[in-house]
Amino acid sequence: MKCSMFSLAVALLFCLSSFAKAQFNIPSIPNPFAPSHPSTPTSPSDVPLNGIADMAKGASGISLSDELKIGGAVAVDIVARNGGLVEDEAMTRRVALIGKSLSSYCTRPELNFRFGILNTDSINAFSAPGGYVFITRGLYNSVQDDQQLAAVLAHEISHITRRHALKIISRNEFMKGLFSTGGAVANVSAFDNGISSISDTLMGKGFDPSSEYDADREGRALAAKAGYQRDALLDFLIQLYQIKGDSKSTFNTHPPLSHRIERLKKSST
Amino acid sequence: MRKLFAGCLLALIVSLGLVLAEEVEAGHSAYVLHDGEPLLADKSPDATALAKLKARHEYNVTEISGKWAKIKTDSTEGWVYRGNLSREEPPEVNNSVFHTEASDTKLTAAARGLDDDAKQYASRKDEMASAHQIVWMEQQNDAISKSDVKAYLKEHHLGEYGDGQ
Repeated sequence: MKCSMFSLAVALLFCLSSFAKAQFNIPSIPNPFAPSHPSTPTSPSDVPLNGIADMAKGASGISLSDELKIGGAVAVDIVARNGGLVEDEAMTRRVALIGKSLSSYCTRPELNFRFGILNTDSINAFSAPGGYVFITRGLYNSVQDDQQLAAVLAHEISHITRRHALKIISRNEFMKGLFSTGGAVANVSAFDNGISSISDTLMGKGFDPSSEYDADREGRALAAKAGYQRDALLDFLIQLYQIKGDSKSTFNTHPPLSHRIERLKKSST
Repeated sequence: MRKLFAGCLLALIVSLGLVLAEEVEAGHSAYVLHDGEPLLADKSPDATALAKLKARHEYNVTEISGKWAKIKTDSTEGWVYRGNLSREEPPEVNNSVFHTEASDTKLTAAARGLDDDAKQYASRKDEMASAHQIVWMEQQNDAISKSDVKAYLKEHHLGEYGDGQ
């Protein structure tokens, strides 16, 4: 029993130290058993191309350049599989202005977020790495006001800033050897299969519930930072739930509305 | 007793986690999200800019007042909207990753259209119509400048232009 208590304490302390590292960027303690780097570059001209790409890699281990290739291809699939885009300048400008007012306060200033409306009646929203955010026409017509629209966009932006899709991709075998040292796609058929697999996941079962709840929390914080109502997402989900319950026609790639509402209510108090 | 101890420990960890997850606080350091963020003489976006802050540089937060944080630099102190600060160091905006020409180094690295490899993917998958629509969407979005966003924030009383301090 003592042993299990000790294990629990050690595990909790480990979790806490990992969290603290993430919060405060505490550098990792070097592994004394790791071999020293054979040839440390001494000047910028010595840095190999893949070294430059590595410098831009985030927690997922995927460089910004690779993220834009993957995200662009996934965005193509999202548009192709959801009825294309609504090519209405006024509607797109409204969504983009709200989206950009949010993304100007997000923690990935290196990205240029782009927002579009998918031409389908279903109520849903998607994001792709690199800054692509989509809502459906059904969702656009369901929100009561800009506050609710901002809440949904902030949720999707948070999937990107928290690198939820990239974390799935980095665990996928297809990433290995996919890009050459110059950043080009080295294996076209592996790239195509990998993108299709990611798109199937994102538009099939969606992110895992913990990523969705994380995006709900982070999105709410982002909306508040940008000056929107903190609980607009909660209000919108309750409004949808009252009409449709936990119907699969609403946010079918997200956890049931009732679960999200419950979590948001709990974390509001 | 042991259950109580484990419960207390968990509660302590969770509450500590919540504190750590908080936004910028006095007594902690913070980073500005955007290079050139003005350090303001007062808690207003229209106040005089005392200095321009650097991205990826750690600053000390000496005071929090509503949605504003007082920042101390080597030479002066002033105010920054809390929404423009982060406890975590933002990633570097590195144009060299894209082999950017000197003439367009002012563009952010990702302010580019649909990636060529994504277009080729669309072509192989017979989804070029979707690729063209994304290019249209990017053009619509990129027509919105930073000053348009600032004007929008101002008009709708959002962010640092919100009511109250």
